[in-house]
Amino acid sequence: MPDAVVSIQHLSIDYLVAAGRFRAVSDVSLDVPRGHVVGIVGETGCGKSTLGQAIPRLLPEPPAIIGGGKIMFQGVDLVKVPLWKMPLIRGTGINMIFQEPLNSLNPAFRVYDQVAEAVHIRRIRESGRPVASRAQPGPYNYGRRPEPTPSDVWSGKFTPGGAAASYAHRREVERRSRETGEELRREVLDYLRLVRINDPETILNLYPHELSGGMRQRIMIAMALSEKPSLLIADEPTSALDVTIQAQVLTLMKELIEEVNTSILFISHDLGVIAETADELGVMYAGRMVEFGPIAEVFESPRHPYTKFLLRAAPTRYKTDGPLLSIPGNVPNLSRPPPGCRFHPRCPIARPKCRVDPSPTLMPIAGAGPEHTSACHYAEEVPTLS
Amino acid sequence: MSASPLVETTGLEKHFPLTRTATDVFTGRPRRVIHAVDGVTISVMPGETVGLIGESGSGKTTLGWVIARLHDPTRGALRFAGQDLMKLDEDRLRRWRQNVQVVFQDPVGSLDPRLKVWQIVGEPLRAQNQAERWFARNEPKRIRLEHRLAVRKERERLWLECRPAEKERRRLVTEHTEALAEWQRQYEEERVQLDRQYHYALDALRAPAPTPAAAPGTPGTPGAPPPVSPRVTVADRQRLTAEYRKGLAAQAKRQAADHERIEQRYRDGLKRARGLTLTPQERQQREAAYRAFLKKGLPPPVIPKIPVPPVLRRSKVRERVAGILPMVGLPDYCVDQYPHEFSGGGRQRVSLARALIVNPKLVILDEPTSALDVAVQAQILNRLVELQKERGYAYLLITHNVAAVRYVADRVAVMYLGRIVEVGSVHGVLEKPIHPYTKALLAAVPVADVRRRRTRFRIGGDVPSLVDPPPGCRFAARCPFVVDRCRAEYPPLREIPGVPGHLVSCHRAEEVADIAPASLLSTEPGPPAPPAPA
Repeated sequence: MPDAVVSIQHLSIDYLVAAGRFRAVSDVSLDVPRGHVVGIVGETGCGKSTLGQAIPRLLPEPPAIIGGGKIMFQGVDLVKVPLWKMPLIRGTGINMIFQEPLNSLNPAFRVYDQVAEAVHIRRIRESGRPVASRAQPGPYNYGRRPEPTPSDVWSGKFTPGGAAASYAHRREVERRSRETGEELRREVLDYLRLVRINDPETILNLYPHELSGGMRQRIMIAMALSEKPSLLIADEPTSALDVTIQAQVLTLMKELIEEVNTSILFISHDLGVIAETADELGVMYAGRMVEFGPIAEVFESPRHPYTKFLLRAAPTRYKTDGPLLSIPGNVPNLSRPPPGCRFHPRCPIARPKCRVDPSPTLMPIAGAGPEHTSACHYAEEVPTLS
Repeated sequence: MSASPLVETTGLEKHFPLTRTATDVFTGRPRRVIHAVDGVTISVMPGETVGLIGESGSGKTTLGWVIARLHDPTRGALRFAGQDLMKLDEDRLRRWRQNVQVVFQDPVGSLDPRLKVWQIVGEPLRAQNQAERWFARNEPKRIRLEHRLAVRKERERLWLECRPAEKERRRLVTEHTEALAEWQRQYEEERVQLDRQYHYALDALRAPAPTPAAAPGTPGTPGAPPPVSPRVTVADRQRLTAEYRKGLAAQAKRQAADHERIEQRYRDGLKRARGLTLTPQERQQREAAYRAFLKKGLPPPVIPKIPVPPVLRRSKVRERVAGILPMVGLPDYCVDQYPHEFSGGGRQRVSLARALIVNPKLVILDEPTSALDVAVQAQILNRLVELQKERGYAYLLITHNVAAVRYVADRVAVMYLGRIVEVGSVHGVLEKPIHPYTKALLAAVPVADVRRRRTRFRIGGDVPSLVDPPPGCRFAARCPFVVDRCRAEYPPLREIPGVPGHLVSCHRAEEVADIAPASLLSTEPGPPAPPAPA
């Protein structure tokens, strides 16, 4: 795709565990077009979060190992970038909103410090100053820092939390940033207002534990947006929230997508949330992408049996209308996946062809839109499946 | 209602006091209390499913725990099959517990990782067996004791009949004690109110001026001048303190007058009681009755012969567990597995088996599907409905998942901040909700339908705090249809004319009844969003 923010090609990710090595994501190709929201759905353990964390290389490696493939971002293959350089891409390049807003904000810092750090990083990078990977003279260090020696800690040169390397250093930094401080503060306030936070002057001085779940998630969104990333990965951003708060956050995200021109990879297991936000939808099953296409097409006429089952399983009926439809069988064990199509043991239209390797990959479908692809040998038959 | 309810609560309250700091004690700041459940009246019929929906912090889990007697209610009545649960002693409560079982919220945390499935699922069986054994041993003793107490009470009553002055005196003493207790309670309450008013006023003085209340849906007015914090003047504080002291003095005066009135009534009563006598004929009659009772007593109690059940052997427990596992859709070889060997759905099934093994009458399902994917969720919900048809369980389904409630429940209760705001049949509440909060909740549920994309959600704000909530409707702060009356007085649950069995707690129920939930989502872009910072 010409105008893709990130282009994943044949990505495979393995986990090394005591029982051996299993492939959590296998041969996934995905393009996120500029300015689009791409949704990824799938059951627990289908590899969607692994995929999301692999893009900014946030997976702990090992146990995770990128087994093959490319993640092309701004002409660079992220798989080949050394890990210590990744912080330069994270933030303004690829940003992430995590599932648990409490666990992903630092409990020891006030809201202001956390949002200001994000704004500051963006400003440095926008100013075009060369960014070294070593300790930076600035309020915040985000590159690799020399490890403090015990004597540094003892003599007070090192303060935990990474704000500054020593008190003397800190004073120097404060002197230099006094004039920029006011400007920074104004911008932080602007972003907090942008995410519809009432009374941002008060909120600035609070700690994350003093805020409600919806507020914390909005702070996370403010931090993510203030860096103006090219790609924002939202990993179940609303799962921990109540429905009314979730609706507020989703509404807000949709408005902000239009304002700050960014692309979003939206990972969720909630079809309702995906239906509200995404432009394109990818369905994952047992580590593979089984269907991809414009959201309306995937929802209206799914071309993979798994997608069809997943859409039908959502409870929308009353007890008196008969039982809910569920998918027969269980999710396969990824350390011993079934040969051929991973879904064939549970599939009603499985034939001998489905049981032989290699697994089907995403293919265009006869009779569907040009961008709609499905990893099913018999995708044309799926609409007739009852 | 025709049949008698299985569980019935009346004005149930559960409060959790917050710890008081030393500063609070010295400044006389009253104790703050979390009103987790605040006057809930709800009933569950045998074989019925009641869905309890609400956001986190609405007190729905606490209500479930109180109904299962895992928490003691602060106030209010709790009846199970006509029996007052608050009057059960420890032995009988333990024996009662097999009637109500809970499937706990977190299937990972509620299963002991060091126990095998047969031990986890068999634990209620062992507890039940022990409770039955204790009951069989202690029930005859208890009946005999109760009989002896009844005899003593009756003897005393007949003895007092012969002495009217003494009888009257005892009545007066009881009455006086109760009056004094009531007097003390009332004034303590008033005192707390005064303290609270004073401290809230002081806090309001110190706090910065609040931003002008935003209209619903437009939280935060960008570009508004920052609020100016007013200076707390000494005069302000002195004025408040003077008012507070005046209030205290007036209260002390009234209190003393009340006390004098109560004492006077008691003294007058005693004077009157001294004059009470019996006619010789009456006296002879009553004394004869008393002597007759001394000779004869009450008829001896019927002491049932309860066989003490034998201690449950391990093999028996394993057998019973293996028998129940297929019922929840697990193969019977699972008895020797550990919880970590199961997926989320499997763990939820083990949890369900543990609740069902003692054959309860009511199962409290606390978020049974929150940790599960749609496909597994559908399997579990189907199983729940089938089991109910086969075995006639009643369910109390506590969840924020409206879809699950729609499928499983017969009736739905919507909770908001410790109170029930709407109850009715599942069709009534979910298809034609009346309370604005229910409408908001339903409108907020994302629908897996791309044609129904929303653009804006009109309910702003967060769920307010449960600590010392203000009077009036709890939803008033977020409600788009709020009027002044909503903030001042609490709307009681009342039946809506024309819709039998549908109770709503809203002053404006009739006016807002016809507003569709979808109208809380507007399709127009709404007020212009603030410009993105450069």
